[in-house]
This record gives sequence, C-alpha cells and structure tokens, in this order.
Amino acid sequence: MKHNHSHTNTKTLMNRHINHPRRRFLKGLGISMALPALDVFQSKPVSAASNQPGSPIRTAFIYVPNGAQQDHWFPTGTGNDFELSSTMKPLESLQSEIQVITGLDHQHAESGPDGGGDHARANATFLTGMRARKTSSSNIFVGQSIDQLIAENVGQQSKFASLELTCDAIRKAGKCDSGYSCAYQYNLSWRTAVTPMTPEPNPRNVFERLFGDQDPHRQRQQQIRRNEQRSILDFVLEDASQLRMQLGANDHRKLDEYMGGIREIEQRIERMETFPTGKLRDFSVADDSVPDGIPQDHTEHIDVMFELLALALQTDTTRVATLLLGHDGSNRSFPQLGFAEGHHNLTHRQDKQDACEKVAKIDVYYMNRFAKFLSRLREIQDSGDATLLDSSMIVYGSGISNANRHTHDNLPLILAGGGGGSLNRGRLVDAGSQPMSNLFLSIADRMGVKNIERFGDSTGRFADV
Amino acid sequence: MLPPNNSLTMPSCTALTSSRLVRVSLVTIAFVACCQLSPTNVTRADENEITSVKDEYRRSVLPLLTQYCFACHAEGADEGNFSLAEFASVDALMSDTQKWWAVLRNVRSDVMPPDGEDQPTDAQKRLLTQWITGRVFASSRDESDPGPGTLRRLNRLEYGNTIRDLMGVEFDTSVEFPPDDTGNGFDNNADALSISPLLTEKYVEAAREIVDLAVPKASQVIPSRLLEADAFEISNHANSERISFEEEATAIVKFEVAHDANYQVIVPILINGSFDFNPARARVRIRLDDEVLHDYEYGWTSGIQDEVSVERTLSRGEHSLGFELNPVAPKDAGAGESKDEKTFVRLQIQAVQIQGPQDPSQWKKPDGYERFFHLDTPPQDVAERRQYACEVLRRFCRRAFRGPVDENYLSRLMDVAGFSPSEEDAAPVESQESTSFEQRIGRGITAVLASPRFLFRVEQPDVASAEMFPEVDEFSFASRLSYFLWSTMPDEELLQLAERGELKKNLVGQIERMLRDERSERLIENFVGQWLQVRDVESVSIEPLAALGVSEEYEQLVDYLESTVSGRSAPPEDASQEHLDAYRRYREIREWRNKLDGDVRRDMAEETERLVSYVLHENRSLVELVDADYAFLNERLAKHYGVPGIEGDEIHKVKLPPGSPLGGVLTQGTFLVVTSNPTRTSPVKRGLFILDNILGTPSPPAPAMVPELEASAEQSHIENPTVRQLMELHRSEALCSSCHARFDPLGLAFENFTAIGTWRDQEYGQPVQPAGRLISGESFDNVTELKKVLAGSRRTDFYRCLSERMLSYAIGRSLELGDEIALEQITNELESNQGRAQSLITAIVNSPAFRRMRRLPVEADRP
Repeated sequence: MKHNHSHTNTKTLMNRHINHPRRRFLKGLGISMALPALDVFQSKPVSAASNQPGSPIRTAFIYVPNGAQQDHWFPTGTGNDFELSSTMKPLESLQSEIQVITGLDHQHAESGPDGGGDHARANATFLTGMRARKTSSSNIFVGQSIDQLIAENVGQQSKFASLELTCDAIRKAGKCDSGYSCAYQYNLSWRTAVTPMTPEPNPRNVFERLFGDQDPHRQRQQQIRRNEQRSILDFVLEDASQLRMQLGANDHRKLDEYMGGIREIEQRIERMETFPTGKLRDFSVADDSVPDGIPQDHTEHIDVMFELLALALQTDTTRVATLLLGHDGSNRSFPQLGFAEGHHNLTHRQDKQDACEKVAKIDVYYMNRFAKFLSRLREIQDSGDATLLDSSMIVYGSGISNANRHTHDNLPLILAGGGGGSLNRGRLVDAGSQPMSNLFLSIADRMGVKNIERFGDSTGRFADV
Repeated sequence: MLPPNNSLTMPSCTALTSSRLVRVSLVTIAFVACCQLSPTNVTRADENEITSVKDEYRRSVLPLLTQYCFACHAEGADEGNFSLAEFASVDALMSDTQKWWAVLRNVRSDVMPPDGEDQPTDAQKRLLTQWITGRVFASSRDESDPGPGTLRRLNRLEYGNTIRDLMGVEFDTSVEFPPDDTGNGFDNNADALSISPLLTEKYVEAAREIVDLAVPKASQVIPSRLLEADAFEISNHANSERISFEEEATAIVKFEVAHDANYQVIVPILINGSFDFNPARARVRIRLDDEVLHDYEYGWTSGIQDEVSVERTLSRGEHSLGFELNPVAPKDAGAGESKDEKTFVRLQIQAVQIQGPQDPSQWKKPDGYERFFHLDTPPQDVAERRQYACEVLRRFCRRAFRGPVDENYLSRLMDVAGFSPSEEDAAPVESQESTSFEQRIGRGITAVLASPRFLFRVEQPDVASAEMFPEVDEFSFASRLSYFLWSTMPDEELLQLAERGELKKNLVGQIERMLRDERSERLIENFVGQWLQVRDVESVSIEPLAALGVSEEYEQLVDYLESTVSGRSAPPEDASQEHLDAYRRYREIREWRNKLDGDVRRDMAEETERLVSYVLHENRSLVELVDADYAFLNERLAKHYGVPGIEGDEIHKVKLPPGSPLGGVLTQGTFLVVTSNPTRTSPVKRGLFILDNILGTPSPPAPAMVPELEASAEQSHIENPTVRQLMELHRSEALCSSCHARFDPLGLAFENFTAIGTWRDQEYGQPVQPAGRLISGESFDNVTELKKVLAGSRRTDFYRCLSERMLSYAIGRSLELGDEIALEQITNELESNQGRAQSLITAIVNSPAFRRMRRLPVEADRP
C-alpha cells in the first residue's frame, strides 16, 4: 500500500482481482458449470423461504433497443400453429417455450404535446406504462416500474429484492433525446416515480454484489463485518435524519433516496441472517469464477450479463430483474455483422432494402443472445422435473415498434417461460390493441402481488397468456 | 481586429438605473399575475406602478411587436406554431414568460425577424430585449436571488478525486460505481444525480474498502518494500509477465538491505496457460543469492498461484533474487507435434516483497500515518487517548465535511468508532481479537465516508447576513470554488482561509492560484469533455473507409484480388498492369482503415483540451476557441489534417500556415467526428451542435415522421448525390425548411471535413460547396469565413452560450428564465473584458447564483 498523489505509484482497488482471468469465469459458467450442474445439483434452490409450494416464480424484463424490423419480426399463423419469422429463427428450438404477443401498446410513449423524444419515452414508458415528464434535469418524473412494484411486494422473499443490469457501459456526453433527461433513456427500472434504479454494467461488480466472497474463512469475517456495518448504518441513518431537519423541502428528496437505500441494506443484512448464504459451490460454480470487468467485446458483455442473470435466478438470489441490452435510440454499430452503420441511423432508412436487411440482422443478433439465455434457463433444473425456464416469466421486447416512424403500438414482444405452469406456452397470441400494462398486471398476479387493481395505463388484465 | 458591432455597446449606467427602477414595480406585477393574490392585497401604489408598466408596454413595446412580428405571429397567423396573439392584450402580458424567452432569444440572435423581412434597428432591438430581461424576467426574480438550489451529491468523478485528496489512495469510481445520469448536458447536475439503493450500497461498501486500503491499522509496522516485476532483468528479453515455458530463461533482480537483520522474503509464482492445452513443461527454481528456495516442475494449467515465503538473515548490502526456468521434455510424448500455435504456458513474475528488519525496535510508522494521526503513537493514558481520538476524528471530519463538524456528531462518531467511555478499555465491539487504536479510528472514518455530510455538499448561509438571499458561508463557498475549478474538495489553504473568514476577501488571488494548480485541468476535462463532447471522441464509431467514400472500391479490389492466383498477397512480377495497380491501390486503402485509431482519437481529445486549457490559463480571448491562427498538434495529428512540417509525438502549439482552414474547436477532429454518422458526415448534426453549443439558439426537435436524408436520394435522379445535394432536396419539403434554414448552412460549411476530420476538396468527384448564408443574414464562402462571422458579428451569442453552459456547470443546475439577468451581466462582463477567459470565471464566481443561496425554511446554524 502506498500513499501519495501519484497515479502511477498508487495501488488501485481495481487490482484486487488481478488473478482472476476473465476466461475462467466464462469457462466456469459457460462450460464446466453447464454440464455438471445437471447431475450434481439436486433439488431445490438455496432459498427455502418461499411460501409457495414448488419452486418460486421468477421474472425478468429484457429491453432490446430501437424496436424491430417489423416485416421480419412477426410470425405467421395463429395460436399453437405458427411459424417463426426470420428474426426469431434463433428461437426455433425454443418455440414451445415462448409466446409471441402482438397488439400490445404503450400510448404514453407516443408523442403528445411534449413533441419529439420518442426514444427517451420508449425507454421510460416500457416498464412504467406512464408518460415521462419532459425535463432535462429538474423534476424528473415517470412512474414506478412493474419490476419494482413486484419487488416491493415479494422482494423480501429473496436476498435481493430486485436486480438491475445494463449492457450500456459508456454514456454519451452532453444532452440526451430531445429535451429528456438521460435518466429516462438509460434506466428501465424506477423504484418510485422520481428515483431510477441505476443498472450495473460491470459483470464483476454484479457477481460480487450478488454472491460476495465465496471463501468460507472470509465469509466468517464478513459476518463480523456485518455486525460492525450495522452500527455504522444506524449511525449514518441517524445523521441523515438530523440533516434532513436542517434542509429545505427541495433537498428532502435526495436525503430520502439516501435513507431508503440505507434501510434497504439493513433489511438485506436481516435477510442474510434468515437465508443461508448462497454457496455457489452447491451449483457447481467454481469458487473463484469471479468475472473480470466489462469485456471489450460487446457480444461477450451481453453473454456474461445473461449468464449472471441466469445465475441470480437459479440461486434464487433475486426473483425479479431487468436487463437493458441497449438504450433506445442506441446508435451502436456492429462491425461483427459486416457493416458499419449505426443501429439508430439504419432504422431511419426504411426506403432502402439493404438498410432494412441490416436492421433485421441486428435484431437477429440480439435474438441470438436471448436464445442462448433461454436455452441456458432450460438447461437448469429448478425443482422436481421443472427447469428454471418452466418457473420463469421472461419478457423480451422494445418500447418502440417501428423505429423509423417512431410508433409505439403493436410492440415487438415475446413472453418466454412457463410461469410455474401458469402460462400457456408455444403460441402466437394477438392482444388486439390494449395497453402493455395489462400484461404487467397479469405478471404481477403470478408473482404473488396482491390487491393491485391498476398499473400504469392499464385497462384490465391481459388474460390470454 | 473584430468588426464593430453596435448592438453590443450598451450604456450600462442607464440600463442599470432603469432596471432597478422597474424592478420594484415588477415584483408586484409578478405577484398579481403568478400568485393570484386577492385584489385587497394590492395597494394603490402597486396599481399605479402596474399601470405605468402597462403604459410603457403600450407606448414602446407593442408598436415594435406590431410592426415586426404580428404579421406572422398574431392576428390569426401562427407561423412555426408560434403565436403572440395574446400579447396584443396588455393584461396577458406577463402570463407566459416562456414565450417572452423565445422572443428574446430569437431577436437577440437575429433569427427573427427572418432574413429578407423588415429588420428593426439596433436601438429598437435593444429596447425590446432590455424590456424583456429587465421587466418581464426581473419580475420573476429578485436580482440577488440565486435561483433554486438542490443538495448536490458528489458525482463519481468528484468522489474519486475527493477520495484521492482526502485519503491518499486511488479509488476507480469509473469501475466501481455505475455511471451518473446527466441533466442539461452535465453529469454534475444536482437534480439528475439521484441516489439509487444500488449507489447507497456502493457508498457504504466503498467506505469500508477505502479505509481498509488507506488507514494504517497500527502505529508501527515491519518495514516492507516491493521489488516490482519490471525491475527484473530477463535473460531472453521476454516481457516479465509472459516468460514462455518453451525457452530457457533467467529473471534476476538485485536489491539492497540497510541492516544486518532478519528479513521475510515473499515470492509469488504465477503460472498461466492458454485456454487450450499446451504440452510444455518446465522446472522453475527460485534462488536467493546462492540458496535455492524453490524447485518445482510445472506443466500446463489454466492458472495457478504459488508463493514462497522464507525468513532469512541478510547482511547489509546487495543481494539478488532470481527465477530460473528450464524447459523439460513433455511427458505427453508426441503431443508436441500437434500443438496449436495459439496455446502456451508461461511464468508471470509478480512483485516480490521484502519485509524487515523483523526486530520490532526497527519497525517504522506505516506509510500515510501522518495523514490521519498527528502523534507518533496514541497516548497510554486512557483519558488522554480518548481526547486524542476525538481530536483525530475532528481533524478528519473537518476535511471530509469541508468545514467544521458539530460536537453532537463527533460524540456519536466516537461511540461508533468504539471510543465510548465504557468501551474504551473493554473488548472492542463485535470482535474477538483486540482492535488497535488505529483500527477503531478507521471504523470511525468508515462511518464518516458513508455519511450524507460527506456524500452531499451541505451548504450553510453566512450567519452574519440578514438578507433574504444570503451569501453562502466561507466554507460552503470554498467547496463551490473547488468543485467548480478542481472537481474535488478544497485544499488546506482554502479551508484555512475559510476558517479565518478571509476567502472571499482574497478571492481574486485564490482564483488565480487555483487556475495555476494542475487540478484546474479537471475543469477542462469535465467541462469541455461534456460541452464539446470530447469524452465521446474515443468511443464514437466511425468506419474510416466509408467515411472517405472508398469502402465500395475497397470491396471491389478485394473481390478482384481474391479472384487472382496470388489473392491478397503481392502479385507475381509478370502480373498484368491492372493487377499491379489494383494491388497497390488495395494496399493504400487498406492502411486507411486505421486512420482513426485510438492514438489519433486520443490526440484529438487532447488537442481540444489543450486549446481550451491554453486560452484559460493564458487568459486569452475566448473567441480564439472559435477562430485562431494557431493549433495544438503533433506529427500524427498534423498528418491526419494535412498540415506539413510538424514533428514529434508531443502535442504542442503551432502557428498555422497562412490560409489554413484550421484553428479553433470547430475544425478539430473532436467536433468533426462526434457529430458524424458512422459512414458519413452529418451536416445536420454539425449544424445543430453549433446552434446548441456555440450560438446558444437550439432548434426545436424534429417533428415525427420526418423523411430521412437518404429518402431524398430515391427521389433524386442524381447518381451518387453529395450530402449537400441530398440536403437541398430534403429541405425543399416545406415541413423541414424552416428549421433546416437555421442549421444547414452551418453544417454544410464543414463539408470540406470528412467524418474522420480529414480535409477533402471533393465528394464523389464533385467539388465541395461550403458557401452559405446564415439565417441571421451573414454570408460566407467557406469555413474560414464562417469562423470569422461566428467570432465577429455572432460573438455575443457565443459569449452568452458559453456563459450559459459554464454557469450551468458551475452551479450544477439548468438555467431558467430568472437567470437571464445574471447571464446578461456575465456576458457584458466578458464583452467589456475583450472576452478574456478568466473574466468569465470571475464573473460566474461573482454571480448571485454562485455566491448566494435561498434561505431555508428552517434555519440551522453551523456550529
């Protein structure tokens, strides 16, 4: 350890994991874990605290940017008898696991008197069903998101009430879409109408946060530390409430956010005592399989985030999660697909056949990642004969439908998984034209959220799932 | 040097007087209009004043609006969806300040009335704009009102910098913390800096990790030093991190010890293997002087870490420590032949630790001890020790909270740290092992770093002030200064001045000192990084071949070469001329793929930062940011731009050759690249960027359903249309023309610069036509002339825009209507100081928004 101002001489905390090469993680999770997990891992998730019989239902919401090239997206046929479109070809072997739902809308993402900014709205409305207040900084307001509503109600049953992930590691400098704060465009999940749940882009941080130190000796030290931490948390909480009294109403929100976060840590410490510590070894994951930082390669980044998501759901570390594959309006370019144009730019060249083909290729690219994730969930034995995919409800979609025309009706949407036997899989379902929020209500019901009549712009429940 | 500009010279004396006079009356008007007070609250005197303002409006303002505006924006017309109809009625005068703001900005920047319509005289324009700022806006806010303020959390950059200054360790927040949301273009915007539970959790965790790394755990430790990996001399010149198992090698480091004493020598051994198996095996010996400490045969592994740790008596003087690596025949005979080139087994040398002398009498204070503890060892006496602990924590809190700490907090902190009277001699909290004095201080510091008083910048009003909008106290002001200019906590000098109440008195000298300090480069990095989006230049994706218009040619060449026998390799000597030419061209273009590599991008970022830094530190005129006859280049960047005769890797200031189009930020790679699409330039983005960030007259967002530029290509019958031709077609649609007329000429002026910032005279064989006419009426032939316009007749717009951006950055919030007055003053200040960069800083620091705060509903005293 050194103490000085120089950058070069000072040991950084980053170096802590110098001996954990990334590929060991990939190897650990992707290869060695996948196979023995089936044999070694016996019956139930670590958490025995579920009140429900059988295994708990998990849900995750995956956001794919810039809608879909529609003529390549929609399957043909009806009900059980349908043929996947070219974009969904990667899901061929998973056709019986998914429902492709058409006719769900987000009216609050449409432009109203607030004018441009469809990409910001697409992102902000996706899980909230609410209209984002147009502001570049002050008075940010949209609405609680569905995952947070679920987390608030059933989150106490797992170590983490919810998990928020993103594959957007780098933020663009400067202003965001048409007068909307960047908070709308980079966050899917909103704890309250005014506080976004910041998603984590760094796989190593996700892993350490979820699973902590796997070394048993150090776990004992962690126990000691937790007790110490409790007194510190009490202390800062008291300080915050004293400070709160000194400050104006404007500042209360900031302190309330802070205090909410501190209370959440306190609750988590409580839960850690109640729930046995998740030993990854029980899931045949190598103890030292801590991932490195953010991979250079975007595909690798997405895959690692999906792996972590699968792991979090598998170990019942959390039951509700969100993953932003890219913010809406993303102009990421995909040289690995053989062309350089940015995604967003391409979506606005609908007159050109080759541009449409390229957009469709990007859609397939994301679909491939998603397919890999679903396959992973199907490999994982959850409880009895059920796979993790059987116990899950995975929503995959976008808040914009035609990215060229900036429409928000008939959104591209897939609902994957069996929802613990409650979902009627393997179908193409037409919702006619109703709010996406109706589907969210149906999902919340299955997650065990009680007494909820309305959400976002819901007009009822979408029963036909 | 600059063209005269009548509209800029304002008789400041009279303006000041008149605005004061009116302010009194307008406060009342605002009340009536905004707060809907009941009429009984309005006195007769107020009514008289209202009447006089109404009269003034009727007498001098309304005729102007009628003459120049109403034809398009009232009387049933609402060009551009903008109607001033209600302004015809005097009662509605104050009802819509937003609308007045639009009028102000459009008139001030000569966007309205449009070019070609009757133009008001400069005096009329001045009358109108001054009436708006002086009366409409002044009514919404008292002149000393700093505007709304929100508690500011340290963003992740500020947090990292503060930790470095406070704790003496690096904590890489760009890895550990999630990115901050930005508001109004800056990531230090208080309203946008929300605190999610995730972040709170990170703060608590970070506090623990940082303390663990930074705060010594004992007053005496065994001296320890590291022999770094790169200090090893390696026989076969391999990289010390990659010593192959397939070749004999030694790696030796020499070191000296100062005493004849016992030392612990700790040598880590790390063996790495490729993902796939490699059969190589080797004996690895570790030798300390003549003694072999370790001798073991290793083979392929995905990675193992061993450690040799021995205690030896070493004599004073030089010693040597070495690795010897001897390959041995693979056990797996025959495997060697089939081995893949990409597989390997390697020894990676890591830092070796020498601990000693082991004798406690020769131990020393740990590094950084003095940073936290002002005595060599804690006192033995219990009461004294407690007293000392309290003093240690008080000193730390003063720096961490950037001001004094209250006694109540301190006493609770003592309890948390484990210094409560009952605990002082008992077993420390929750721990079986004994906890040292230092460790308990560390626990206290952990609590401090997790405290809201550290994470937020809590500000206090000057206690002596009785004003409605008091100045912030000296400590709060010190923080405002240091986070603005340094993106970190105040240093000891600022804190001491604040303690003595002398900071504001010595403000000018302190600003100069702070700007001389290298920490002021962070103002450049963070402000310019976002204002001009320098941060993006390293990551924005651009395809150089497409940007240079040769990607199709390249593909054709590749196809052609692939069809020949030699493929993409050098053609045989007897190859056809066509083949040879194709190959040469292929080689040439292939190189261009790297034209915008990481080095060039970093150079571009540095170029922009260096220019702004130079203008700021040398107190040059800010117009040099727009137009200058010099640039900051190194050889690589100069080649990229085509500037001859620049040598060396170091970026330095160079005088540009006569006639060079370069100079100023707008012809720098940063601007040109971050405003481009991956495959082509985007005049629209460039134009919008200038409207937003240079002229401060942003365009309204595009309506839904706009046809994209490429759609116009279909309708045209031109083969390979230039971007300009496309845009002309696009603009011919009525829907688009009104806005495009504002930004197209600006963006098209830069068509001589490709999407990677290189110069071109032609696009698809046609000469680039950069000439244009701005909506405010100025014509120009090329980018050089445009820059003269921006630095000349549009100079005040630029000053105001930059002032707006920097004030917003400095105070961490978006500006609103009420800030127009302050902005006007800052802009005037700049104008009367010939645009000197430091006068902008001074004017901002002296503005009410920076110096004052709104009084809180509940008053709290700083102890």
